[in-house]
Amino acid sequence: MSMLTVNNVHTYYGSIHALRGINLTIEQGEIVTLIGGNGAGKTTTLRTISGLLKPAQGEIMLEGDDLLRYKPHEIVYKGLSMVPEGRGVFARMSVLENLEMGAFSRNNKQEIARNLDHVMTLFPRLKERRTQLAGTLSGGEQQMLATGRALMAEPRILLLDEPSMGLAPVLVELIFDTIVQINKEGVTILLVEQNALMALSIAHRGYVLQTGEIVLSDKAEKLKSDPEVQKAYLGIE
Amino acid sequence: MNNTNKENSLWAAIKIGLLGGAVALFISLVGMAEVFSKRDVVEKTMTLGQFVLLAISVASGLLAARRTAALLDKPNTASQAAAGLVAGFFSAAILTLFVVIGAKINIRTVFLNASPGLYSMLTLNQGVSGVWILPVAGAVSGLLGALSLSLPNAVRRPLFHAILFIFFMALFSGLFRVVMINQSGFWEKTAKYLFSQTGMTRPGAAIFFALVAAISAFWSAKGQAIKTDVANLPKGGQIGLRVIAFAVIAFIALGLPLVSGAFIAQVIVIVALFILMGLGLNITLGFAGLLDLGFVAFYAIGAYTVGLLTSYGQYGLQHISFWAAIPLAVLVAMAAGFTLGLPVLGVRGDYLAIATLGFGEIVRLLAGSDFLAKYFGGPQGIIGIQKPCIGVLGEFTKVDVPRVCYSLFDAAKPGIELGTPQSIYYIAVASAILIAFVSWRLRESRLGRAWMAIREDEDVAEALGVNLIQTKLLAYMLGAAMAGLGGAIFATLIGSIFATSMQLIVSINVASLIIVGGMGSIPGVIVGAIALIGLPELLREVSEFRYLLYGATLIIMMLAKPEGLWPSKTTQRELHHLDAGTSAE
Ligand SMILES: Nc1ncnc2c1ncn2[C@@H]1O[C@H](COP(=O)(O)OP(=O)(O)O)[C@@H](O)[C@H]1O
Ligand SMILES: [Mg+2]
Repeated sequence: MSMLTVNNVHTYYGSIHALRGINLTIEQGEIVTLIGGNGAGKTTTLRTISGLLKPAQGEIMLEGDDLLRYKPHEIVYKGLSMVPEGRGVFARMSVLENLEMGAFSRNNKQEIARNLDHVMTLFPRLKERRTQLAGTLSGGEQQMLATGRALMAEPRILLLDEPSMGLAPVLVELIFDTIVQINKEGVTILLVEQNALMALSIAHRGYVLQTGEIVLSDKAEKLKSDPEVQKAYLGIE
Repeated sequence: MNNTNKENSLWAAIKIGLLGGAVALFISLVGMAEVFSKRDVVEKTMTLGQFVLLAISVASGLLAARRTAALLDKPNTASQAAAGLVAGFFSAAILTLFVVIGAKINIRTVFLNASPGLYSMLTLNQGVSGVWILPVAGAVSGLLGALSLSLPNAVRRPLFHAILFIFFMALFSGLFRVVMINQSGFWEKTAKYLFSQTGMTRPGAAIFFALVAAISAFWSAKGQAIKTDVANLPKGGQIGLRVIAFAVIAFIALGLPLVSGAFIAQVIVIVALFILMGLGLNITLGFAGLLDLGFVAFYAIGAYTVGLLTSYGQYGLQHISFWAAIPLAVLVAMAAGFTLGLPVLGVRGDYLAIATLGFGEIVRLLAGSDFLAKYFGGPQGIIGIQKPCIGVLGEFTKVDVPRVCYSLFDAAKPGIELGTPQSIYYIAVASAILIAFVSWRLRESRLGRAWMAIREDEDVAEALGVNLIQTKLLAYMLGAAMAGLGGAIFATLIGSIFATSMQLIVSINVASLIIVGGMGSIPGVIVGAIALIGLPELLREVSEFRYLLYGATLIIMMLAKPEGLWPSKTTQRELHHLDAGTSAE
């Protein structure tokens, strides 16, 4: 059974038809990237999968379980977490409080403590700044915090929305290295990116989204060498 | 270069002076100066009005001197003093001009407060011929302000503290005097020595000044050492100190109504009720970030519930005791919170403010309407609310006859009826302490964390597993419960309820006190209620200008200390077991 299946999903904002029949399949243990230009519908796809937007039509299955049956706040209990676009850290709460909120769906205190330890080793910077207000962190630190917060829910699949946005190249590399490490620890990853080159270099497979439709899907290396993709997303003529 | 700087500094001093003058003119024209001049700081020497006007000149001088020091390359005492003199002169010049013009033209048709009393106060009763006093006094004050800058800190701080203390003592002298005179004997004699009818006596002011200056000097010299000594005390000693501090506070709190008289007790009750409302709104607005401008509605609902359930007047539906009515009032208020919360669940930001504002007005208008007058008494309100009784309440016999309170042990003897403000004090203060504790526990709870998360970002909170509907409804309901408790106690204190007292301004007061105290902070609510509700209630002089001062306080707070007087500590206070779980550093 696939980890996540998105089947012919249509999502609207009022009369704007933002997703026009999206199909995605993600297998257990994969890193899959969804690339596409500004306004292609990447964020809409992630918000639809995590239940914050209701699709007008289509099917979303998590390990054979129909996600559309659940309320938005119930999805996280099914093992799916999202790192939102622009990080969305709780600005007036401390780093530790943010992480603690990440474990809101869990209640085994020992497990939470162990998990917090794990996140702190993954992101030592967060440990140094645990008492600092999240709003005062740098962009890179906020990305680490948002990722760590999502991990606190112990997801089996993690959705990341443009983690590289607005970060210096060194930090992007650091974040992407951590994504690979998280994946190695057994978390399936759906990575949304405009930075297609970076995303394709760590992903196993990729999908290309254009104005609400999947126009291409293939192994990551193949996409990297695809002339269309190179022209449109990699800046190679 | 240096020349232009000199010019700049002169111009800056003039500007600061004119600004101070504008403030002085403003408080004169709104009538504040004249009202303040009826109270003395020091009897037969200086009125509060003069004190405030002089303080403006001193402050202008001080600011101008500071500005000069910043502008000039080589600032010296002489140039600073000159700046202070100029600023002080100009701060008084505007008032001088005002007096001269006022003597020629009657401007009272426009400015009601430009009364002969004001003119004579400004010229020390000399009339226009004494108008020279103003600029001279201003210039001298400005000079003093500027010179105070060159004093060493060890002298300046105690001076400043003593003057500040004298100011507050002058404001509160009437209250202290009455309380002390009520004790008669030694206290009465002391009171008469220290305080006059209108302020402090000369010896009184001198004693307070010396005392505060001495304490302040001592503390700035030795305070740090004392603090470290206390911190180095063995554990038993620290606990002992805490116990002593707690015992002293408890002793004062318990004993206060016995000596304070009804007026002060009533003010404290009102402060406690605003603390209850503040803590309630602090949950909805401070913790969960849900603006509620109709908050007074829950207060009204609590009050009307107790009124209808306990009144022996014509609108009393039931005649149960205060103690049975209180939990019911809280429950009804919670239900109202639910009713408000449900339709506005999806409403955010500005729209929420409008929707809740409407809710508050609807409740007030319905309660006071002729349409529902046969239930709620319409504009006449509900009267004859039964006082709380510690003991057994006698049967309800007929309308407008209060039920008798009998002793718990002997049905023939009277019980303890909590009828006076002094006895309601205990109920109100105990409730405020209890609810502060409940608020604190709530904030540290899972629910409290969910509130804060939705305040920061609803979508993210939901994605993390927070049930928005349930969490928001609980915020409205618990906030409403606290306000309802406040209303219930208020109704009992006053003994009657009128819909006209449930105005929008009450909601605004509650929101202001939270903002001034520090949004989301529990001690902040208490400090805010004392500052914005307690002080104006206690001081007749201040209460006339209550909303002017509110506005000024809010603007100054937003500029100087936007986090509030006592902001919440947003550091690690959560889940210490989580902290302990991470490896030690
Ligand atoms: N809240 C919204 N209301 C209306 N239209 C929206 C909203 N959010 C996104 N859109 C539209 O939906 C399309 C897809 O947007 P989005 O998913 O944010 O793109 P991406 O994340 O790929 O940049 C865009 O055309 C955008 O204008
Ligand atoms: Mg996007």
